[in-house]
Amino acid sequence: MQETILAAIQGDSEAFIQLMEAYKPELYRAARAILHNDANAADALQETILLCWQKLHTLRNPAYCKTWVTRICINCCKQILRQNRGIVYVDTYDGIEPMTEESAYTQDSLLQKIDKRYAVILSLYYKGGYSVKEIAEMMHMNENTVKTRLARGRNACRKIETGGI
Amino acid sequence: MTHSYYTDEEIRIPDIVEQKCQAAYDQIRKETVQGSRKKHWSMKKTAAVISAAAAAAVSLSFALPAVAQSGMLQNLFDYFSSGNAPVSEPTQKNNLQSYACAIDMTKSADNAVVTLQDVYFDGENICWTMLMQNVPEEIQDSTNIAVYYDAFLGDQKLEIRDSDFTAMGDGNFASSMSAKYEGDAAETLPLKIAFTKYDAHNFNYFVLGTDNVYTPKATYQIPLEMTFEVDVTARTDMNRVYKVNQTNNGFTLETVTVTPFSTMLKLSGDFTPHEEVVMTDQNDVDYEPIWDGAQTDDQSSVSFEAALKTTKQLHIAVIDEAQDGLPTMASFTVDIEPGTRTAVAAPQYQTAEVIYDPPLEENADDTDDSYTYRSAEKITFPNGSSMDKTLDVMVLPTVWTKDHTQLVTMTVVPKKAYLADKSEIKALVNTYHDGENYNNELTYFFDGYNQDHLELLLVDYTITNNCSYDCELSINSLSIAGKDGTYPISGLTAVYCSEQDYGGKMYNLYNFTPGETRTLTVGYLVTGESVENGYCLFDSGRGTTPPNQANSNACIIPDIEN
Repeated sequence: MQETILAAIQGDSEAFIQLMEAYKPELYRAARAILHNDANAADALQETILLCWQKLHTLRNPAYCKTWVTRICINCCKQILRQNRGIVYVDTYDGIEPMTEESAYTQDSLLQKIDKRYAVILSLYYKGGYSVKEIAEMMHMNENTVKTRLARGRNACRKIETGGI
Repeated sequence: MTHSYYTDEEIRIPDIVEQKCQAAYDQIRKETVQGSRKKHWSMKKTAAVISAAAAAAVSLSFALPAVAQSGMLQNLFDYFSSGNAPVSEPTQKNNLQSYACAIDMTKSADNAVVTLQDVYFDGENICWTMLMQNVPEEIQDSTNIAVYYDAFLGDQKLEIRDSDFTAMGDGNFASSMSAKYEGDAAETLPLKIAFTKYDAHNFNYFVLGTDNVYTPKATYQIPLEMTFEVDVTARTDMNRVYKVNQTNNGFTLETVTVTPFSTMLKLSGDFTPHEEVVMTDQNDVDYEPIWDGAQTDDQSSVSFEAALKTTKQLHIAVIDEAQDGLPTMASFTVDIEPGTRTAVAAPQYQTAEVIYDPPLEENADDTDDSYTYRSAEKITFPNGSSMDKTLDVMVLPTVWTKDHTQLVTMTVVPKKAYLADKSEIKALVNTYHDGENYNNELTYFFDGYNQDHLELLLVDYTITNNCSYDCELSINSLSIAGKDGTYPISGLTAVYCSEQDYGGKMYNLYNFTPGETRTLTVGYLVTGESVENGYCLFDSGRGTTPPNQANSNACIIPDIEN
């Protein structure tokens, strides 16, 4: 993979596409977790691919390529969230049941009601399956910040469920 | 990942996602989207690359011809067109000596001696050469001397294509400047060039494949108050105007004007911002555009390099850059008399080794659990004595932006920089969000790396969209660089931006309408030392214009000894 990354950085478009194909499932998972919508996730991935191709020269260390790409994807998702502020999407993860007691934090309807800073972290953690450390790297945050937001997000969800907000 | 909602094996990529990804891949394969190191440059970027590559000849080869300190001076048109001199613009490759008017007017100020050597004016373009001697000893090893001036031809203020004096290798500096003249050239016109100051730069340029990077080394500013005034008469006897009037697919090539300075095309048709005109000759020599040209909805004028002595036929095509495959909308062929320019062989550049070694901002240490995140309430200001300072900041004058199909320019001017007072910081801190960035709010994410950076430096950037259409400014990085060439200073990335959320993000887009000017206030947490030893970088991420650091992010470039 390292060779593929280096080739892509040097401008090899096929190597870059190969790289994106390898990352695509992860990117889709992250985008879907944040955007709750396949059409928007598709837009986010398309924009991510194009941005990464344009910005690959700014990648300082190939070892962080995946993190770097994922972060760009998240930024694209957040951009779409900003553009679509106020729009509520109705599609859900059909057929996939929540696995844990934190299932409440994966409900799109609930996540759309809380502060998006917390919703993104909850989505990545509970839906995306990313660890705190991975989210911290992707979001360019401190791990403690991620933990704080997870806690605040859970509190916000609980307040909504109990009619607190 | 015990809490995973679903596993990798269960992920099914929907068709719509596959389709969008394939569409992106198609654009990349067809090069309608430029990659980091693709050669599909537009005209201005090409000029910048030539600038960097040409300066490499100064830094690396030093195969410069000897020039006398005084007395018998080498003709600078000869010098620039020799292939051994650094040129940053294609127009400098023209040897106009035999067509120009010798002036040899000398002025001096603060010991520096400047000579206006030759002036050439073809009625639409004016070009002159200047030599600077006796520069202060401490800047004699600089590669570039930037001059600040106003220049007028008649009543028109000139926009000079290139104003840097570049090192000749003997302590002297040479410049070949050119500008477009839009007025009536029938009469003799006064040319006035008024210098106010100059400063020295030391750029080490390295060519990495098709890319380039540079390192600013030092900057000094010195007054240089001197004015040159000469009368200029257009020399049009060498100009040849071909009335073509060919029409193809709705576009008409009206005229081709060949002068020793340029090859200018006038076209009409249904133009949008997405058309680009390209020109080659019968030998497939690709001509480089030199002026943007005035384009309206139905008229376009583009100036290319001067015609080569070997060129007998021009092939001109109008390309639609907005469509996949860059289809040719119209094409024309024009027979011409051979031109006046001799092709200059490109110098050989030393290629620096690419080393992928800089620590990332997302270094694992940065997310160590032992890290203590500082809250707003704990901020103190031990360096308060420096807070009332007004600071000079330097930013690059030009930013490259991209709207997916073409490069355009914006102007960024530092308006002011000041250390905020405590109440201002407090007001910002009160709206602080931990690690996230929202409008008019302050983030302390980067403060975690720099516990010493306890003062907020605010810099106002005035940004203008110089284009006649909407374009997006990409801000890749707002940071503070060291004046010693190291940059950015670790952790000194912007923590606050008034216009939109920013802070450690990879990519931010700001849309500007035609002619729109906005002021962006950017905040950095700094120490007095970092302010005194650094200057502000406004990195558009598209840049090849110093001191833009965009391309340097790719690698550390080892210093190469002169």
